[in-house]
Amino acid sequence: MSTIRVVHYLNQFFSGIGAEEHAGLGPAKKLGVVGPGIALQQALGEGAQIVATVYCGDNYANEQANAIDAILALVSEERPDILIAGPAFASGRYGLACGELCVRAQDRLGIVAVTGMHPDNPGVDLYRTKVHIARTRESAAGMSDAMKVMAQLALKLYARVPLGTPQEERYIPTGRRVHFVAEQSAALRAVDMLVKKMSGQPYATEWPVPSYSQVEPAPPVQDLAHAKIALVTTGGVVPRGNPDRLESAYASKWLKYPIGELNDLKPSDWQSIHGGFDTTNVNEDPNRMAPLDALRELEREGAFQDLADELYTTTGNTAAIPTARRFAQEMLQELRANDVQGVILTSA
Amino acid sequence: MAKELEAAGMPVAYVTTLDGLARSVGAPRIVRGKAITNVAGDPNLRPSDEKALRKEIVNKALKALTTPVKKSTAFD
Repeated sequence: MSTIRVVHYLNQFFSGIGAEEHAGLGPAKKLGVVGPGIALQQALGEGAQIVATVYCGDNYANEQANAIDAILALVSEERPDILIAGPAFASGRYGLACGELCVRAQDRLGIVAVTGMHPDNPGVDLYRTKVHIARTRESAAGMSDAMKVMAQLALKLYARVPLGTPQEERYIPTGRRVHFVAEQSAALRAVDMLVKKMSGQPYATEWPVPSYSQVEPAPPVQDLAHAKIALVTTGGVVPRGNPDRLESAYASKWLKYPIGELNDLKPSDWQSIHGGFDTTNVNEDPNRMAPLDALRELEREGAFQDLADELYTTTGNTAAIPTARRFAQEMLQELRANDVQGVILTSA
Repeated sequence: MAKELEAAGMPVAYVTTLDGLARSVGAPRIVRGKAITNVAGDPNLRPSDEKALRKEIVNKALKALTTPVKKSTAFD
């Protein structure tokens, strides 16, 4: 059996060129292993050989339009069977370059490509469904371990050996669902898990709750009595008849409607078109979703100075996070332009 | 949306009945609403009582907006 040909990709730092001041370096190549490639070669064993190491500065790889293609061309010259990129650990630019390079190597060269990253690397969100990413520590302290995991993944993928679970093989979940018949029923497994949990033994969930990034909260409104407040809802509240055809799910847009002259939202004029809950109660009294009547009273009582003249509305039902973030960014422009200092956001 | 606005410096009182979910995703200022089908009201109450309940919820939201928080916080 002939030796499996492997190309290794590194950034300017791990290839030994230099630190941040060399991040603008263009793509280049050396024959054989470079730096951490020694550990990778050990992990690959005798059946596979690193024939060349391709490297590029992190800034160049991310800023130049054709950088990844230029790197790929250097990889392709070696006619490799496998590309191993990184590991990038938690380094964002390096992770993005590794992820994109691996995807293109798979798609265009038809070869096995594997990289390694810490779960917080921004490259993970972008590429985990497209390429196998070994789960690494945050920094190069985890180098030799990461090399072993990447080498095993690459060799198994090359040999078309089915991979085990992400936990067993230590890669970041790709989002693929694999069906299998469990030995015990769900009821037995659940009770078993509960007993372990209650008796303080280790147990593993079968369906981890997704973790969400944390944000730095905004500073509070300093002087509420002189502040302008805006009312925003994801409860699908629109003028009756839904003139702008806001979607009842998977909303593609947000809308704004003038409420400056209104003291409340009358059921004859307003409704909710939200498709994710029974809207009977809201349609009977739309203030139950967008509490304009209460806000007006408090405004008159001087609790705050002013309510913004428009109701900002969309449908939160089955909203994708990137879409919701875009809505928020777009609304933010308007809120700032209108000197709004705080938002009351209502949803189901 | 609440997180995105907060991260940009705009305080948001997020009124929701799914406050556990809001907390697990890390919304900074959370006010618990009455019910999913009527977050700021209660059809079982007399109109005047319902209005009082709604004002109470909005007042909590205003209090949330004026309170410094460091992490996801529920205002009851």
